[in-house]
Amino acid sequence: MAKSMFNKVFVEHKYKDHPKAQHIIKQIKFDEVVEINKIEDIWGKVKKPYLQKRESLNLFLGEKKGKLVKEAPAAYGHGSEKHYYFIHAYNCIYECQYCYLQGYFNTPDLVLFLNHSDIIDEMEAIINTKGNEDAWFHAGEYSDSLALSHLTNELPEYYSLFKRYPNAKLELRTKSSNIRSLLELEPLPNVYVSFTLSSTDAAKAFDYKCPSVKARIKSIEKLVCAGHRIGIHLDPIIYQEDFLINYEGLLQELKKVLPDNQLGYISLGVVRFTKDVYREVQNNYPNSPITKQDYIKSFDNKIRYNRSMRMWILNNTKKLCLNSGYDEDKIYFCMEE
Amino acid sequence: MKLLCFAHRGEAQAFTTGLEAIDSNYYTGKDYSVLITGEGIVSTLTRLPYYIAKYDISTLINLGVAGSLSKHTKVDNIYGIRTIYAEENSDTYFHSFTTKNCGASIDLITSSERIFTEKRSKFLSHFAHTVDREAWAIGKVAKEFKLPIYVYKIISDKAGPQTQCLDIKEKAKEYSQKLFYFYQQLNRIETNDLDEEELVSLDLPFGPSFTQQKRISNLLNKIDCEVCYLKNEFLESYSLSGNKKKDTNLFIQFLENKINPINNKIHKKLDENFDEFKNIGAEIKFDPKLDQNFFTLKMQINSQTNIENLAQTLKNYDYQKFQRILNGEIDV
Repeated sequence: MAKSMFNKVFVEHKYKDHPKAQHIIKQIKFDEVVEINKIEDIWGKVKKPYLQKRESLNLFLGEKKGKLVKEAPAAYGHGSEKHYYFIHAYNCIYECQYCYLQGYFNTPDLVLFLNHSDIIDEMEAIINTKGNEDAWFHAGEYSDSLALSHLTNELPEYYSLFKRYPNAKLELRTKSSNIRSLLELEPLPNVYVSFTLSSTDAAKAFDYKCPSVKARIKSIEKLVCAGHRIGIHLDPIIYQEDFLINYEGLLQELKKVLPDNQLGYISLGVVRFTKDVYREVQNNYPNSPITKQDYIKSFDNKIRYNRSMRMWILNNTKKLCLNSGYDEDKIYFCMEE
Repeated sequence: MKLLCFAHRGEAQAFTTGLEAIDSNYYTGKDYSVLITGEGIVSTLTRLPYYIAKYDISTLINLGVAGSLSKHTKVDNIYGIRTIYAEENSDTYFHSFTTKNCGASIDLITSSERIFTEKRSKFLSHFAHTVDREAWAIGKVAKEFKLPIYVYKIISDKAGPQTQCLDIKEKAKEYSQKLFYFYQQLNRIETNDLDEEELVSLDLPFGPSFTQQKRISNLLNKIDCEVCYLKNEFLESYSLSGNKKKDTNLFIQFLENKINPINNKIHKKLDENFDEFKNIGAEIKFDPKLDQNFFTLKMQINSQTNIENLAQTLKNYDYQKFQRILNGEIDV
């Protein structure tokens, strides 16, 4: 089989001549381009095993229909403002063992939506609703928000919206070190580039095909130097014997490049799964230390550590953050009661 | 016994030579049996379960011809199949079945009808590299009977308007011989690689109940350490009471502590925290999973003193401390 990035690129008829589609197709390696009516005619129609993304990944380009911006669940983000997430893509080029995408969609095939102007219009309508002028909008719920940003090239459009609405906030969630497009943009005080980090050992064990922790910290350094605001997600934390020592090392490295005044927030979370996702994880990574942990079915029906273990991990990691000199008000626990 | 499934007798002919015909569709020999499933999903679903139920079948192997839907599958080549999809009247079945073929990268879609048009061929090519008429049904039966399945297909032609069924039929003997040769060449057929569940013999000086054994097996699966070392460490560190149930529970606690050392510390702290209630004869229960944020108190009252003791103990009790321990503060 040819070693292309994608096997097939499926493009909706309506978008085949769209400049964004053309731009993406020009820059990637693939076996074949296929025109289709609608993404949903093919994507997710059959159950495609998740790990086939390693050898047979297809790309879909087209339009996101239905709701483009959705309200986030409770305890999703920092602060008391309303939180929303918007959907610019489905699935991810990285392969993290704990990733919920492996049980969320029926296929690992990647979808890049091209109707960013529709998404932006919907976000603007929300901001203009009473009481929502300081709302948060998060990118990266179903896909890494920066990993392919050099191909998709949509960031300037979002920056333009948030320049017009300085009270609203944008979060770009990522594990990527692909910050080329960001560095070309003027930093905005209400846009946060938030990096998911774990200890080097944990990342090596669980984050396949992701940039190393060192590379992610280097990217943070470059963005800080350029004046961007940064968010940090230490999530999911997975218990390992030396995890506190390892996270202490991580926070020491982070503190060298990220001063408190450019840090927006640090979110802390422990590993958790829905029942379906956990079944997929067991199936896909049967020998992983992730499947050897002592989980219970918790208050929200998720598979996770018991409350004591969770809080012990979270409180101790929080102490490490405080010891590193980060402001307590900026630290919050993600998806906890 | 391995069961080799073929849609047509022609494809199977090289395999049935020398085998005993049990009936018109089923042949058996020393190393494998052969079943002619008939063409199509319905025929396969009707016939195959009967033979699996009747005979001792351990593995299903589907061999036969398939049409190519992709430039990656060349005519006359034999491919191991990775995942099997299915389609009926231009609509796909959601469920797919993944074979045990190691390293296979070719997918197959089972179609409800033969493919004679470019349009149908193109539609199917969105999902798979090859097309046949029965593999999905064999996958479905394999899943129902929890049997491993392997699929190998020889590409007869490019599926579409140029498909000539009679030509394929005429070449059936040739295909069958090629498949037979291929089958023999599989030095160590992947089917020998089946996972036999290893039963761990603990040989402990106490006998766990069924539930305890289940918990122990579950915990042992999570510990990356030889069972004999664990057993020795346990016997060296703990003194046994001679009560089978208690000693087994102690062993379970020892294993739990290996996986999650925090839990035991919290359990101990909570037990200490309720000492005063225990001293007045009250029974305290908290969530053994340490997830629920409450405890229950039970006490038999048979005197005024009981009531006064309970009232005093409750008054002195620091509920926040319970909360803090439950929140992982071991040093409170």
